[in-house]
Amino acid sequence: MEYVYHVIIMLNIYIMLVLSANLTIGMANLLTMCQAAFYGIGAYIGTYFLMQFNLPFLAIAALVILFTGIFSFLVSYASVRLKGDYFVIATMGFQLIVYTILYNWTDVTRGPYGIPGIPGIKLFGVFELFGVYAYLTLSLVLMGIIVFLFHHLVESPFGRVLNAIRADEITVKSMGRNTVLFKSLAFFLSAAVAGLAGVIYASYVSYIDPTSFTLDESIFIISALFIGGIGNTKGPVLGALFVVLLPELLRFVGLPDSIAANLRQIIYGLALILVMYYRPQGLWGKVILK
Amino acid sequence: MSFTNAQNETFQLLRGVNLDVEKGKITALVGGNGTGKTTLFNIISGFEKGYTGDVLMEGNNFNRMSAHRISLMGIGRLFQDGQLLSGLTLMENMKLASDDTTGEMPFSSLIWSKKHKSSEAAKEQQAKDILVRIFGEGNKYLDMLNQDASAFSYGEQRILSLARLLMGNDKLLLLDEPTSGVNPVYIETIEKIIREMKEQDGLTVLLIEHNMHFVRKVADICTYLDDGVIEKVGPTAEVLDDKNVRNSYLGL
Amino acid sequence: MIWQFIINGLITGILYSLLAIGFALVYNTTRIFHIAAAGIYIFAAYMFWFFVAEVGLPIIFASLVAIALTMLLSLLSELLVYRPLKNKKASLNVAMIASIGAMTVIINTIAMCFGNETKVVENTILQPLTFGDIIITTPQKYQALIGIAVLVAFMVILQRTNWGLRLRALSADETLFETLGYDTKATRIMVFLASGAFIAIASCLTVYDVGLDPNMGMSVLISAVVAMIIGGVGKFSTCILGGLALGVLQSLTVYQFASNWQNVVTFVVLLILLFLRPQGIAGYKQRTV
Repeated sequence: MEYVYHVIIMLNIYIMLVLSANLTIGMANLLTMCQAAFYGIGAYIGTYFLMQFNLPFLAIAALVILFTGIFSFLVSYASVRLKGDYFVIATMGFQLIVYTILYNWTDVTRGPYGIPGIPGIKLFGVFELFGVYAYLTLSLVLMGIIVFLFHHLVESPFGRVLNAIRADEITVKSMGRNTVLFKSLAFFLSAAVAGLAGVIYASYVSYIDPTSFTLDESIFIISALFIGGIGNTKGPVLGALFVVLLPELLRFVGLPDSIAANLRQIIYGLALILVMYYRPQGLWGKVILK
Repeated sequence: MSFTNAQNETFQLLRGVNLDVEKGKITALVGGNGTGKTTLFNIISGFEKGYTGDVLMEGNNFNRMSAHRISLMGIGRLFQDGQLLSGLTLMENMKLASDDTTGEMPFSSLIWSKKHKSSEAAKEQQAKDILVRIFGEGNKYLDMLNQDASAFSYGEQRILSLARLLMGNDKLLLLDEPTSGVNPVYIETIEKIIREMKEQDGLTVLLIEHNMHFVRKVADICTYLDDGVIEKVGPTAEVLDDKNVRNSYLGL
Repeated sequence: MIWQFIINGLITGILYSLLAIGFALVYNTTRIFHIAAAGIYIFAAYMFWFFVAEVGLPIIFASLVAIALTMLLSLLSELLVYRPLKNKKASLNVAMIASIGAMTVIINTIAMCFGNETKVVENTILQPLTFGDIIITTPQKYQALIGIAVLVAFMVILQRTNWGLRLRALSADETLFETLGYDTKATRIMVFLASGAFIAIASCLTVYDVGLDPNMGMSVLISAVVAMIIGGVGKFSTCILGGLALGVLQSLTVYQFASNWQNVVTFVVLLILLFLRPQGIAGYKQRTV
């Protein structure tokens, strides 16, 4: 049963990640391939402040949001200067650079050895969380909050402007909207939520290393997004469900682990191709990628 | 209101244009293809920055302003081939054209929900009023407000894009070929809308057109642009009847 | 001492050029961001290894078989993925996402069949060539000779033959190409076959030197794309320029700092270039609306 809780916790983390990707990719049509970079920055920054200063959760969350937000400005700036495929490859570059730094800046990040013994998150400075039940509750609550907030954004005037930017940025500018500001806000929120997911992850598994935050991971997140669907709330959530639960299903069926890992990737890849052909808005999505 | 621009442009399209636009009048900009009319619009509205010279409106210099700031100064624009924003409903299109940006910052409509609701209601009412004004009571567009942009034909989208401009508090409108590609049935409506914009809303209109009949009917002043400079400007009939203009542009 | 690094860089650059051309063949003609090329690269590597290590063919034959099979796989990507999407009028980004899916399928199928560990093609250590202080290993020798031969042949074909003309025309303007009566479909087939060949050649020459694992494709492809961008998007000759430049740049980074930071330097240079001179060293300047 504890194992089920573990799956649910990871599910909540991925729901947050995929929703964060939806804000930029799904709603504003900004194809970022670096969600895992923000996931990783959040994890490492959060870990640093957790282990060095023993701060309560809200403070850690604020710091993570601040730092991932600052890094998101790099991506925002790139999106203004670079168009289309150039932007995509710039985000890949950002992802690779972050990974390389996490891997090689061993003085700070301990590189491939990772950081073990990450303490639990402290709620209100007093209760230190450990154990599956605590994280189950925390992750459910956070996921619920993020789903609520992001669903609000989809339906809000802010979301309307993002959709408009996706449709025709120039016209939106000519209507007096500062489109650069709106895109930057979208990047900021997207990075912040990915970073928060990172802190939860780090504290929950109490060990992190750079291999969790690679380009492959970014690809995994956007696969979940495109399979599930973009542009609304249902799509990303169900997409996260699909990619997190599928391996459990394979395990149930009794496939040897060595094959299972590759097989489920094959299934994701095929699903992606089929979805793009038959239902490009995603299985439960609303909008088609431009 | 007037503004002057004397410009050269990176790709050497405009080679020294001085244009004074008279407030409250409809000025047509005519000339052959590729002579730089749309480029001129881009310069005025801030989308093209590679020029020398000044763009002034009521004492304000637009040179260093970004496109969206210029728009907020009271410039509205209809783009060549511009359509409604796809993926959004007609109502959403109208709301976006409004200058009222209440609730557009993330979560602000969650925090100040009452203010948000009333501003949305106001915008909805304004949109309906505009549609009634242009298309009459009980027109079909009132029932189509929640339809996606793709539900409307090309011609309808052009008119609606024009109508959309009335949502904002503009002083000057830049209309780039409003009648091009549009069914003649709609052209009358477009003419009516533009005339009303001048007479009832006191807007200044700068119009790029290739449809000479339309220009004659609607424009007070006509400016003929050829080879990157303004060759002639004056009352419409005068310009369009000018021998040189008819020779080089209309080929008559 | 630095010359050794420069020579190394140039030779690696030749490999980048080959892969860049393999990517650019698809990108310039279809405008699709052909991420699946990373998977095709891996496929070629493993086919090469398989026919040498498991089947026991001599290197030459194994590589030819690998190249042939890879050309087929490349063609399949067009026939099964890109062409159907094009017929559905799917956007380029949709095609790119599907391409990512294809890459994932290919790489993981390979990993499932052959395992995730690093493999090598041959273990024998052959005598390197020496020119004064400079050492050129045997794999490097082949990379240089074969690579240069292929690149030169390609440039000649591109400029002098009918096929090359069609390729350049299709890259320039697809609608016009069709209007003039040329068969886009047939040309696309040739393009994908050629792309597969280039990717396979680059792959075989590389893995003969450094070995292979299922995850090396993505980073190598990204370097090739960076090379294409640095050189200048839209032309093929610029892929060679960019490839060589990138190879030398990375090599000098190793000389100056350490090999770990190659990626960072590569991308920082790319980003600086994109911001200052987006057309690359010698590409086409684009007029924006």
